[in-house]
Amino acid sequence: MSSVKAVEIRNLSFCYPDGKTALNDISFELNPGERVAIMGGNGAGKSTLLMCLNGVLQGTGEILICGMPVVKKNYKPVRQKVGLLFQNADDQLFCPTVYDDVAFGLRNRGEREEVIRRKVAESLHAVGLDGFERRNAFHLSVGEKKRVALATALCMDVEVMALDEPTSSLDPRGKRELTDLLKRYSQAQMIATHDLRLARELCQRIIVLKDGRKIADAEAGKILNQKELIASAGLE
Amino acid sequence: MRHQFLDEHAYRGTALHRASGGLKILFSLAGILWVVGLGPGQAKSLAVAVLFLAGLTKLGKIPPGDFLKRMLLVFPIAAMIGISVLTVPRGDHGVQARLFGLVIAKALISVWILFLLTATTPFPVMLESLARMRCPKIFLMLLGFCYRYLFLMADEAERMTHALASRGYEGRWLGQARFIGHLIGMFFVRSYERGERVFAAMLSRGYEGPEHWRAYE
Repeated sequence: MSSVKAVEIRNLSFCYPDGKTALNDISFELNPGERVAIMGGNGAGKSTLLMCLNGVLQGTGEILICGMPVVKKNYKPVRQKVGLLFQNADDQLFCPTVYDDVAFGLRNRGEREEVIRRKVAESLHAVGLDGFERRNAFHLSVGEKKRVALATALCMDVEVMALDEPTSSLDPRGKRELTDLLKRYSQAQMIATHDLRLARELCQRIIVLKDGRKIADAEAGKILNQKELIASAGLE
Repeated sequence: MRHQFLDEHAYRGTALHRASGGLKILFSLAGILWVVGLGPGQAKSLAVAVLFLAGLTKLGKIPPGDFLKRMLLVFPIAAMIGISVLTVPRGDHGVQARLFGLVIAKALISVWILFLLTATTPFPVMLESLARMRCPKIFLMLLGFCYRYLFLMADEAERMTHALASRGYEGRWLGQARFIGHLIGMFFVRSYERGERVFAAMLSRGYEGPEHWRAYE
């Protein structure tokens, strides 16, 4: 295993402008290819943590992505390594066509149009949406939108995927399809969720947050067997 | 999901649909300028324009029902402008009535031209054509966002009115009008928050401002 961690977080704290502390002294590491579930009830700080990973939100403490500190001068390369998937795919798919949405990050990276075309086709193929290039996201189902959102990250060859509630608002079949899809990818994955089944099936490790603090960090099986811990984190 | 698109008829294969998007935009703008410039004594020219547009509508296989619905939507605005003409004294009643009719006819014909353009040109093609015509990128970006989010916002507004209706709101009495104010306020807050989230999504994919944006090149 490579000695460079995919993600290193040291003493991360974040306060919203209204004074609410969303993250309080969070520290942990994520190895390349490792899948970890970030679990906690609503308002535990899961989404804020993911948004800090690529500098969209800036807290105090230190974050390193593949050894690179997340500071202003590194935002560009960091954002090419972290693929962030939002809870609501409608927030992530803002272009008139699926093609433009998937190509957005590649264009910002300065790729040539023929490379963009090839990568868009490959990414859409990887999420099972061949031929969707000219479609508008408004016409897609929730499951299809989530897959397009995944394709927007995949086409960037990211090394860390940060997924915020990936299975929310999906029907059981949609959940199954997305879970199977995520299993196939070799990137490190941080999955913010309160879906215990998803965490059990997909992740080797679970980190539990409560009121912005890390209250547990262990193997998935160990955490899921601690009923009291699960209950105190507002998960059941 | 029940809302229809601006360009719902734009994906057919008629000759009008296949024509170059840039040409259609140029002809539409020229057509509107020509119609707006017509004077009170040029009713025949207006009639020619109507016949020509009717021919194009048929050629493009645009359902007349849809076209009439959009005209009806615009009619009150055109009528308001027409009424404003009536408030300025310009000779006898006959002259006033002709001016009133002329203003409404010009407005409706202009909308007809724009409707034909959007009904025969897919919106992404329109954006690409505008880009080739050196339209500023920031303007194209805003148009793209409007196209993407207009119907989503219409859905959101509809959900909020359903929420009001399911709690007994009927909107019949003046006292209930304040809820419309709440609804509009809430709608703005939600749209603002969505804007923040969309911008975060753009930053996450390396967006560095419109000057670095490479779409439509």
